[in-house]
Amino acid sequence: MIFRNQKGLTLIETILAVAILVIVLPVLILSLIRLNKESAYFNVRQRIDNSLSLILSDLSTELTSAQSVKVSTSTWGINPSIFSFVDKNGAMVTIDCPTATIPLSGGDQIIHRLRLQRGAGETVWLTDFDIDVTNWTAQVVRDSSSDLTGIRLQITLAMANKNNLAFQNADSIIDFTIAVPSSVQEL
Amino acid sequence: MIKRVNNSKGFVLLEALLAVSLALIFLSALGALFFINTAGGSRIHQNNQAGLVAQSGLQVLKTIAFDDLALTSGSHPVFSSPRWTLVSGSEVVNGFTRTVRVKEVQRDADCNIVATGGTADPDSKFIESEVDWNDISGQSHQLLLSSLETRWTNPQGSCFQVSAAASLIFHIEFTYWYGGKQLRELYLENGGSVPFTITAMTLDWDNTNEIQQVFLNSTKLWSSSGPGSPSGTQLSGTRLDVDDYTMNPGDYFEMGKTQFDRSMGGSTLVLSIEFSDGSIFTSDPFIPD
Repeated sequence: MIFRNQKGLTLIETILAVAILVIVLPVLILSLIRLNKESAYFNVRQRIDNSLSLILSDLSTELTSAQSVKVSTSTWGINPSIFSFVDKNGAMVTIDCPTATIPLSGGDQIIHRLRLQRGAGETVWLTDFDIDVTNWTAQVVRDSSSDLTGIRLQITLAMANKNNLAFQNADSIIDFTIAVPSSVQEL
Repeated sequence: MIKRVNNSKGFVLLEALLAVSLALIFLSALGALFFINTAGGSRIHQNNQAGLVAQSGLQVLKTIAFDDLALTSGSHPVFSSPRWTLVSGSEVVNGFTRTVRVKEVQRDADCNIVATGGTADPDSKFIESEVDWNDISGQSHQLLLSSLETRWTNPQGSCFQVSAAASLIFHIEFTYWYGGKQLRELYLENGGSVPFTITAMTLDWDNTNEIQQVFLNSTKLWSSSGPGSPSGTQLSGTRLDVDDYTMNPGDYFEMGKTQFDRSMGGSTLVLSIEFSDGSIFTSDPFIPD
């Protein structure tokens, strides 16, 4: 006894299955695309965070062991500031934030980069070529006796984004104060 | 007889559902991985930011003079160039709630920090910077950094006072015997920030000669006939209870005219000085010229 009862049913089932896929897949794929973009955004943001942490960590180490802060030759309270100090080995260190032209796939972009000059040595960029320092403001901090007790740094890092890609719209803003010991003189 | 039933209606539907279900499971798993990655990235970013905000709060407190650090159970810093001051209440910084605190420090009789039961140390304060935030899943987090600030350079209490013995600077560079018996060019200096008082001295030397008198800044502190005790000339190692003598910060006085009964040329001396705070200074062995 042989039953063969497949008439039309397989087609309906297939259509059903395809219909389910048609409904579900776009939702899933769109979700994956969105998550992928968010992941890219966080990766970019992570790079900015890492840059910021490294800059502040290095500066904290340098300033707490510095011989003096060159208050008279620095420019304070404006963006971009110029900040000078004499490091523990007696070398003059200057950190400024000049403009730099960066060739990107979407075309050249003019950004600001943090730059460090130690003595007569070569300059060192503190920020990557695709990170724009949109704010670099340094201020002297004093106590009630007008003694120099710290340096306040307001920094904003933003990812260079010539192509205006949504995931590249990442920035990081920090208002950070570095306390300096009384052994650091003021010149 | 072969009985063959070929009714695959249900099987095909099941297969289709299975396939779709599997696809859903795989895609969902993939989606979950992306979500976890994204959420993790967000948390890392928030943790980094929270750390910087908290650290900056603590650094701000360190820029304020110790005398201006009033005790507070919850404040936030406000910058009025060039000074940070504290205002009551918390603040929101980049989405993080920051609260800074200044707390008293209690110490026991041995100056060890204790949580309770001690006395408030006027020269120490705990400073704290607390940051609170919620992550993207709504879970609350807190980061608390704390440090100890001390007024060790100008202490008002007893725990950070430098002992008199530690304040004494002993100058033997040009010491010599005048006439073989009298010690010259031996100087004592108060290198501290507060006065100290000398109450006793013990001189050791490597012969049987006897000491007759001790002077400091042309003042006789002890002699065989007074002032001080014991009376009579004394052998090496005898503790001499001298007239109390106070030296102010910066005072630099010679122990001139300190004299022995016979020639001391070539002798090796060690001087111990007792102070009113109970501390004792003992010099390295020295040989006057």
